Amino acid sequence: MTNKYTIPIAIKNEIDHVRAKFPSNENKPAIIESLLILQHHNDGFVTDSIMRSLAEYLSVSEIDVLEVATFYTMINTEPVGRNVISICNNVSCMLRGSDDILKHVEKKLCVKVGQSTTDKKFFLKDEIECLAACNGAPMMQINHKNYENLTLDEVDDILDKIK
Amino acid sequence: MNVKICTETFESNKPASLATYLKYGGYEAWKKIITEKTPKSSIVEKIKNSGLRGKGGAGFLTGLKWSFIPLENKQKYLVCNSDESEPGTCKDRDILRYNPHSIIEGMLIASYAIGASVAYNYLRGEFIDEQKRVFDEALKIAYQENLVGKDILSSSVSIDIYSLIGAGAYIVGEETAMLESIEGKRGMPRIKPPFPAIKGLFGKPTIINNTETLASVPKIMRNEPDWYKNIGIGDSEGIKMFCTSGHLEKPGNYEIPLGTPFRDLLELSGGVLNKGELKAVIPGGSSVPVVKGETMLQLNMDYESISSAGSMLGSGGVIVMDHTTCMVSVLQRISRFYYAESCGQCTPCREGTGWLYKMLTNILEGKGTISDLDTLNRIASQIEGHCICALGDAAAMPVRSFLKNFWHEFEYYVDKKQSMVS
Amino acid sequence: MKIYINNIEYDANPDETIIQVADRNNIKIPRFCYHKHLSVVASCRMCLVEIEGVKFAQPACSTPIKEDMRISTKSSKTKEAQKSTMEFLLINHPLDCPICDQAGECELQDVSLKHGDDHSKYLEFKRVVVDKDISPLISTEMTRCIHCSRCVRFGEEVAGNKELGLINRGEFTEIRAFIEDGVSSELSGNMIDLCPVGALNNKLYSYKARTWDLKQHPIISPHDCIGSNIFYHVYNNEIVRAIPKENSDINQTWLSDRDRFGYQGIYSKDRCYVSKHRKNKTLERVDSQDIIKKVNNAINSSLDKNTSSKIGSFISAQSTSEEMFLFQNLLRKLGIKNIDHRTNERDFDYQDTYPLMPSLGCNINDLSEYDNIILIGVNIKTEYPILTVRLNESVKQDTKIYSYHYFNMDEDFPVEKKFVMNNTDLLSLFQEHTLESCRNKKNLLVIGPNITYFSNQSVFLQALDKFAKNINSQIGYLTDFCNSTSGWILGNVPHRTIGGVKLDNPGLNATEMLENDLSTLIFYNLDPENDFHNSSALINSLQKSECNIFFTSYLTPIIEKYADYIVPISTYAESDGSFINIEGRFQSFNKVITPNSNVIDGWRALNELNILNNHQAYTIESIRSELSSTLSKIDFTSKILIDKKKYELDKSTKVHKNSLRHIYSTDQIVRRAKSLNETIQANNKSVYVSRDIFDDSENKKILKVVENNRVFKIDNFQIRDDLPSRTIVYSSSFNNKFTESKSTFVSLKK
Ligand SMILES: Cc1cc2nc3c(=O)[nH]c(=O)nc-3n(C[C@H](O)[C@H](O)[C@H](O)COP(=O)(O)O)c2cc1C
Ligand code: SF4
Ligand code: FES
Repeated sequence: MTNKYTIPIAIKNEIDHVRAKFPSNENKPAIIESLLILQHHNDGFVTDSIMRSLAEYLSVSEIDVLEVATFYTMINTEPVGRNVISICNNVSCMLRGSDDILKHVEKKLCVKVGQSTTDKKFFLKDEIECLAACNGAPMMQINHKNYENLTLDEVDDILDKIK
Repeated sequence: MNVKICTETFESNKPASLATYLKYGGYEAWKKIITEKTPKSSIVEKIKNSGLRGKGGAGFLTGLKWSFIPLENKQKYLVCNSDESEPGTCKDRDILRYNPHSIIEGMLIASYAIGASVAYNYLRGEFIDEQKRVFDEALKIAYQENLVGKDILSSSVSIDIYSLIGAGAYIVGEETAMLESIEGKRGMPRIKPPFPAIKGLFGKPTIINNTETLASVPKIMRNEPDWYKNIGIGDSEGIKMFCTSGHLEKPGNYEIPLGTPFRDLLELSGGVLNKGELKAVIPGGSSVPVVKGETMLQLNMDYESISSAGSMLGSGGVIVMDHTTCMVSVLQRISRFYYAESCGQCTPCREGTGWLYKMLTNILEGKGTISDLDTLNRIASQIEGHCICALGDAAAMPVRSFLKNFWHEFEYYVDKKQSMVS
Repeated sequence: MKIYINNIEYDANPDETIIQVADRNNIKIPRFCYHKHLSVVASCRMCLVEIEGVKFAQPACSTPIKEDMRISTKSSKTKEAQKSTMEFLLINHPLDCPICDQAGECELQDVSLKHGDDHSKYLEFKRVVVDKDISPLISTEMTRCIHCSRCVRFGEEVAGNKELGLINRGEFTEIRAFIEDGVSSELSGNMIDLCPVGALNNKLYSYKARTWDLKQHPIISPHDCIGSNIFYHVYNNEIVRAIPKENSDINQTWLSDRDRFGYQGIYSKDRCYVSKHRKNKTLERVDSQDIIKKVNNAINSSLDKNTSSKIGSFISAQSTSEEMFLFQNLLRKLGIKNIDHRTNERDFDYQDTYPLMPSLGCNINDLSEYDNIILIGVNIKTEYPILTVRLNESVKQDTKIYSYHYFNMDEDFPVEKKFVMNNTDLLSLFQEHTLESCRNKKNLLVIGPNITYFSNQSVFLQALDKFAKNINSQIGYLTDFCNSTSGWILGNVPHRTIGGVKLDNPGLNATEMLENDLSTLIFYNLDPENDFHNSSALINSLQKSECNIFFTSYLTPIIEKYADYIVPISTYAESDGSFINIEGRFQSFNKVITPNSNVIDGWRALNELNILNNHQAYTIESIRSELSSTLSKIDFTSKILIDKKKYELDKSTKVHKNSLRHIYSTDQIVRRAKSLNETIQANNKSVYVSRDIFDDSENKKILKVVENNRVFKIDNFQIRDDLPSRTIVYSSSFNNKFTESKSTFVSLKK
C-alpha cells in the first residue's frame, strides 16, 4: 500500500466550500471540483493515495473517485509537466492551420501529443478538441489561458516567455 | 433590424460590470417580478408567448419546457448549461465574460418561474480561468447587492446561485449527463423518460437551459412578448447568436434576427477568406449535416430554412469552408471528435464511433476501398437512432451528409489515394 | 392495460417495461445489461425491438409500455437492429470461445448464434485490456468485457459495496477495481454469474470442465442459518462449482461467497477416510463394516459398567436434521440424557425460559416491512452476508437499522446509528434504554450468536427482553450454525426432547459434561480444536474419560491423540439431508457426490446403531415424515420468557474479552475451504486491545492476560481507538492458547 496522503487543512477548507454548494446529504457532488483543487496543489496530477484520502474525506468509495478522475480529461492520474498546453485541432481550427501549429510545437518541444517534456516544464495535452474559441482560430490554451489567432512566430514568443 | 440581446454590453468599456448592465436596463425585470410578486404562471406564459426557443441545440420552446415542472411545492432546481463544447460554437463563453449579469438575471427569473430555490451554472472545465472568474465576480456583486441570495431585496424570495466547473468532457453538455456530472459522477446521459422536469438533479424536478437562452430571458421580460416574437420569421421567432468560423475574413459572434439570409451573415463575417469560393457550410455545430456552399447561399438563418436543406440550425456554430478544403480530412476530424467524446455506455456509439474514425483515417492514409464508403454509410445508419443520447446521431449525421454531398471527392480519394483539392 | 407483442394480446401493468411483460410471458428478447434485480441502464442496446409507429427500434428494457402498444420481437427492423448491436459488440470481443470457461453458457455466444452475422466486416485493431488480479476468487479476462456494467451496479446497488467501477470513457472504458485485489465483498461471486460473457470468471472452476459436461444438483447452504439454495455442478463425481438456485423467498438470485466457494472444504487434506480403533495406545485401521459394531459394543459396555449419566454426547448444529433426529433418538432410547449441541456456549442458566427454538420471528421477505431493525451483537456483513442484500432492500423502503456491538463493525448497508460499548455498558444500557425512533413503530430486535458466547448470556437475554418490551419490539435470533434450530427442536439439548417437550430430569449441558469426569464421550461432527468454548477443559475431559468416540469427517490432532473410535462420516453434500433455516423453513436435499467408499453416510451409521440395539429402523423418508409432523405442530415465533430469577449486574469486571466470529472459520467445512481463506477478510486475525488498557506509549510489546489464574502472553496485537473501554477482542480463528476459553472476564497483568 502506498503511503497515506494527508489533505492539508487549507485544501480541506476549499473542499468544504465546494461541498456547501450541494445538499448536505450528498457526498459525491464535490468529487470533481475537489480533484481539480487537489491536482492544482500537486503539480497537476492526482495519485492513488490522494484519491484514497479524498474518498475517505468525502465518505465515498475509492472507486467512485477513480471513475470520475478517469472520465474527465482535465484530471490527470499520471505525472505531467508544469505548464499544460492544449492546442485545439478540431475543424474550425484545422481550417485555419492548427495542424501546422501542433506540428511546430511538437517539434519545438520534442514531444508528441499526450507527452511531457523531459524537464517537466511542458505537458502537451492530448486534449486537442474544440475549446470554444472557434472564431479565434487557430488557438491554444496554456494553463487555461487562451491564445488566439495564432501564427507560428507568436507561438514561439509565447512559449519562450513561459517559465 | 439591429436588435441586440445577449451581446448588448459587448462593446462597452467594462462589459461585465454591474453598472454597464444596469445602464441597459439590467435587473429591472427581476426587481419588478419580486416586488410585484408576479405569478409564476404568468412568467411562464410570457416566455411561451415570446416564442423563445432553446439556444443549446435542439431549439425546444423554452416556455413550454418550463411548464412541464410539477406545480407542487417541493425542491426544484435550475441548471444553466455553460458547457459549450460543440465544435464551431463559442458564443456562451462571450456572454459569460462580457455579459454575465444577464445570465444571473435570467437564472433568477427562470428559478422563480419554476419555483427553484437553488440554481447552478455549470461551466466547462476549460473556462476555469477567464469565464469562471468573471462570472463568479459578477455573482459576488449580485450577492452583495442582494439581488441573489436570502430574502432578496426584502421580498422574502430566496434563490441561491452557484457556479460549478466541469473537468473536460463534451458529453456533459447533454442535459442529463450534466445532471450526472453535477451529482459527482461520470457524465453519462440518462435514459428518458423520466425527463429532468419530472425527475432531474438529485431526483428532483429540474430545468436545464442553455446560457444564451437564459441570458435572453431578462430582456424579453422587460419588453412585451410580442416584441421578441416580432423579430424573426415564422416559427423561428426572435434572435440568435451565430458563431462564424473557418475560412472567413472576420469570423466572430454575430447576434442577428432569425431568418436573416446566410449571405448577410457571410457579409458580416467579412466574406470568404481571401475572396475564395464558398464550398460548404456546417450551419449549426459540427454534429449537423453539411450543406453545399451554393445551397447555403439560398438559405436563411432560421430553423425551417436550414432544415429544408436537410440540416439543422443546432447551436449556431457556422463553420465555413472554401474551395481548398479537403472534405475527407474534415470528416475524419469530426469523427475523431465524437470518438474521443463518446461516454462509452451505448454499444453502437462506443464501438461505432471508433470504427468510423479508424476507417476514415485509413482512407486518409490511402488504404481505403470503395466498399469502405458503403460500410461507412451502413455503420452510421446502425448508430443513428439507437443510442441513449444524441451523440450517436451527432456522429452519424456528418458521415452520411458528407458522403451524400461530396461522394465524388471520397471516391477520388480512395481511387487516387490523395485529396482532390491538393 | 393491454399491449400486443407479435400480434398477440397481453395483459400488462401500467408501470411495466416491454421486457417485463415479455419475460413474464416467455417471449425471448436478447439482453446484456438488463437484470431484474438491478437498475435499468439500457446501454447495451441488445434488446432493441420495433414498436409500431416509432421510427427507430427501441430498447425493450427501458421503454415503458403504453395502452395498445404494438411490439414486434421478430420483425426485420427488430432483427436488423439486434444484429447491428451484435456486430458492434463483436468487433472488440476476442473470438476465443474455445479457451473460454464461459463457452456453452455465454450469453454473447448464444445471442450471436441467433442474431449475429456470420462474419465481421471489421478489420481494424481489436481493443486489448491488461488484466489485474482482483480477488482470489474471481479471475478476469477483461478483453472479453462488453461493458454491460452489471457487475458495477451489483456492487453499488445490491452488495452495498462498490468495488468495481467503470474507468476511462468511450472505447477505452474498462471495468476495474481501485487497487489490485480490490474486490473483497462477501458477495463478490455473484458478479461471476452476472457477467454475461467470460470476463469475470470463477477462479476455482478455471478450466475444470466444459459446461455441457456438468450435472446440476440442488443443495442447501450448510454455512449459515439463512438456508440459501444452491446448485452444485458436478463433473466426474467432483463438485467443480456452485451457482445460486433462485429462491425468491430466501437468496433470490444471489449467493454469498461462503456459500459459493465453501464446498472446497469437502476436498480438504484433513478428510478422514478410514475407520479406526485404538488398541494398545495406537490407532489401528478397522474395516468399515466392523466399526459400527465396535462402537455399539463400546457404548453398551460403558452402559453396563457405569450408569448412563456417565456418558456424554455432543453433536454439531451443522449436522443434518436427519442426523440430529437419529442421534438423540438413539441416545435417549439407550437412556443417555447428556446431549447438547451448544458446544460454543458457556452459560446455560437461561435454558428453561428459552423459546422452543431460535427463530427470526418473521420471514426474510418481510424484513422490509419493519420500521426499525435493531441488531444486537451481530455483524451482518461477515456473519450473514446474504442478508446484506435484504437489508439494503429494506433501507430503500425506509427501514432504519441500528446496531449494538462491542466492536465497531462495518456494514454494507446504511446504519442509522451504531452503539459501540463494552459488555457491562451495553447491559446497563439495555436495562433502561429506549430508542426514541421506535415509538409506535414496527420493530424487530435481532440477537446475534456473539451474545450466546457470553459467560453471562442469561443476564444479557433478560436485559434484552426488557429492552424489547421498552421499545415494543419483536425478538428474533440469528444462530451460529446452519441447523441450530434443529438442535433445539429435535431434542439435542439436555432439558428437552423432540418437539421441545420439557424433561423433568434434565441431563448435563455442554459445560457440565466437561466438568463432570464422564467415562464415555461421544462426538458427532465436531472439531475439538475449534468448536468448543473451552478446548483445554475439553482436553482435560478427553484425558480422563475411558472411551472417546468420534463420528467425524475430518481428522484433527486432538482427535488423533485421544480418539478410541473414529467413524469417518459423510459431509453434507455426500448424503441426503435437511436443514431448518431461521425462518423455520424445512429444506431437504439429496446426495450430490459419492464419497470415498470407506466413508459412511452419517445418518446410516446412526441408523445402524439403532438396528443393532433392536430399535426401530428408519429410512430417509420415514425420518422426514416424522420430522414434518413434529414441525407442523410448532409455532415459530420467538419470545424470551421472563425468568423469575433476578440477575445481579457484575460491574467488577476488569477486562472484557470477546471473540469475533471469523467469516471463514465459522464451521468445519468453511474453515478448510482454501480459496476463501486466501481472501483479504480471512487475514483479519489479530487481537485488538483498547487504548485505555494498554497504551503503546508504555513501550511494551507484549500483552499479558490473566485468565483462570493462567497468564497468557500475546505479542501479535493491535491497539484500536475505536474499541470501547477495557476491551480485548480477538477473531474466532486466532490460533493461540489464550483464545481457548471464551470467557468474558479476564484481567491484565502489567
Ligand atoms: C451530445 C450533446 C452535447 C450537447 N452539448 C450542449 C452544450 O454544450 N451546451 C448546451 O447548451 N446544450 C448542449 N446540448 C443540448 C442539451 O442537451 C440541452 O438540450 C440544452 O442545454 C437545453 O437548453 P435549451 O433548451 O436552452 O437549448 C447537447 C446535447 C447533446 C446531445
Ligand atoms: S450515445 Fe454515446 S455519448 Fe450518448 S449516452 Fe450513448 S454512449 Fe454515451
Ligand atoms: S438489455 Fe436493454 S439495452 Fe441492454
